[in-house]
Amino acid sequence: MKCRRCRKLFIPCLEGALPEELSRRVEEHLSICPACAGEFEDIKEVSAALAGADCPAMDPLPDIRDRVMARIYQQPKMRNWRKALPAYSAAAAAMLLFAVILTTVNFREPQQLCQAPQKRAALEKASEQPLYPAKKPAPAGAKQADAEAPSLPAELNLKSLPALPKSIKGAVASLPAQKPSEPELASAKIAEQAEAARLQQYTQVPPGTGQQMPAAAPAIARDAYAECGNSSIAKEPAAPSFRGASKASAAKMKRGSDLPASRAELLNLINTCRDAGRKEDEYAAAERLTSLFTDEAAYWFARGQAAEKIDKKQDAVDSYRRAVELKLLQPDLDAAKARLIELGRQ
Amino acid sequence: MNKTALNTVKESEPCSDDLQIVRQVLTGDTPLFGHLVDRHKKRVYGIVSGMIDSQDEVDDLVQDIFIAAFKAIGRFRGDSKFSTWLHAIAVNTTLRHIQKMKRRRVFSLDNGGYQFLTGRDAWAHESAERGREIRIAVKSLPDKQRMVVVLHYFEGLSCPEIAETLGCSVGTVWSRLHYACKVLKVRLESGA
Repeated sequence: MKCRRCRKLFIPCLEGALPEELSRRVEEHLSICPACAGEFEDIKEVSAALAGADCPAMDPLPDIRDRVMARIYQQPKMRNWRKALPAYSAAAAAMLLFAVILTTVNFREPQQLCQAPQKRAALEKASEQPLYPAKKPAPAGAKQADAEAPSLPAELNLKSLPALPKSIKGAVASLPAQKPSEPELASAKIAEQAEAARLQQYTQVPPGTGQQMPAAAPAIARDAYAECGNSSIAKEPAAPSFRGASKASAAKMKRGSDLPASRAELLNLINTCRDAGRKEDEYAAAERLTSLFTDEAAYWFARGQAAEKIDKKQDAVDSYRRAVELKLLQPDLDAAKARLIELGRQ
Repeated sequence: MNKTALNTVKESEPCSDDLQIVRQVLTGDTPLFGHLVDRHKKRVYGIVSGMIDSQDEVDDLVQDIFIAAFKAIGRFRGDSKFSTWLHAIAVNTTLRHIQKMKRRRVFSLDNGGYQFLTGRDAWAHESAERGREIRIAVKSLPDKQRMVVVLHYFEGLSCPEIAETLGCSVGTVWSRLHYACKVLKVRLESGA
C-alpha cells in the first residue's frame, strides 16, 4: 500500500469502519513507514482530544418551542400555488380572450368601413358601367330638366353615394351596441343622407306614368322606387349581394326585441318586407318610421300603403290624410288623394 | 398542507415517531410540530453553537432553522430520517449565516474565532474556560472542515450520517476530518 492511499484511511481506521483485510494492510504499512506512522499518531492524538474535549453545546432556551410555534402562527398562511394555479390560469385566459375580443371589435370594423370604396369599385367593375357619371355642376335650369326626366337629386350626384349606403348599412348593422367611433358616425350620417336623397328622388317620379329608369341608375334608384311603392320597378331583380344582405339584415333586426331607430335601416326593412310579402312587418316598420320622423310626408304615405295591406283602413286613411297635409309631392299626392276617396267610399 | 408530499412518504418504511408526527403536521395538525422542536432542539443547538458563539445569534438562528423546516416540511419525502433532513437544514442555514456575517465584517480573527457581539456571554466564557484551546483551534478551521468536526466530535454523528446530512460522500467526510486533524495538531502545538 502506498503512503497516499494509506493516509486516506487513517480516519476510518480510527473509527473502526474499515474491513479487517484493509485495516491489516494499513497496519502493515504503518509498521514499515515511519512518516505515515508519525502522522497517524498525530491524527489519533487530536482525534482523541476532540472526542474527549469538554465542549458542551449551548443549552437551549427553555421556551424555544413556544417561540418557534408563535412565529409559525404569526406567519401569513402559506398559499398553495398548485391549488391556485387553475384559478390563475382561468383568469389569465379570460383576460386574453377579452383582449382579443376588444382588439377584433376595435380594429376590424374600421377596416371593413375602409374597404367600402374597394367594394364599390369592384361592383362598378362587375357591372362594367359606372353607377353614376362624374358630377357636373348643376345648371341654372336644373329644375326644368328634372321635370322632364327623372334625374337624380343634386346632392346624390355630388357625393357619388349610390354604392356606399348599402355596404355601409351592412357594416353599421353588424356593429355591436357600443359608442361609435368618428368614422362610424360619419358613415352613418352619409347613409342617412343617401336615404333622404333617395326618398326625395322617388317622390319626384310619377308612378305608373311610363317613365323608365335611366340605364345608368340601376340599384339605388330602383330601391328608391320600391320604397315609394312603385312595384313595377321595385320588383325588378336587384343585385344579389345587395338583396341578400338586406334580407339578412332585416331578419337580424326582426329577431331583436325592437325595431331599428335608424332611418336607413327602417327604409331598408320596409323595402325588404315589401319584397318578401311580410305585410305586418312592413306596417310595423312604417309605423316606427312615422313615429320617429313625424313630418315626413312620404313616410306617412308609405304607412298608409302598408296599413291598407293589412286592412287597417282607418290607419290608412289617417296616414294618407297626414301625408296630404304635409304637402306630399306629386305624383304621390294624387295617389294619396285617390286612395282617400276610395277608402271613403268603402 | 401538501398532500402530494404526504403521499410520497413511504408507507412501507418502518414508522418512526418523527415520521408519524410529520404526517400529522402535513394533514394540518400544526401544533404537533412543537414535539419535533422539543426532540431535536438540543442537537440543533449543538450544531449551531459549535459554529457560532453568540448566544443571541444562536437562539435566533435555531428558531430560523425550525421555521424553515416547518415551511419546507411538505418537501420532506421520507427518504431519510427526519433528523438527518433537519440537520441538513441546520448546517446549511448556519453556514449561510456565517457567510453573511463574514460579508458584514463582524468577524474578528484576533482570537481565531468570532467576537461575542452581544450579551449573555456567560455560557461562552464558561465554555471557553473548559475547552478554550480546542474550541479556538476548531474555530480557526475553514467552515466545511469545522462543520464536519462539530458534527463528528461534538455531536457524535457518524461519518455516513454526516455524509448524508451534508450531501457528500463518506470519503469526502474522511478527507475533511483528516485535514482538520492535521491543522488542529499544528494549532494546538503552537497554542501550547
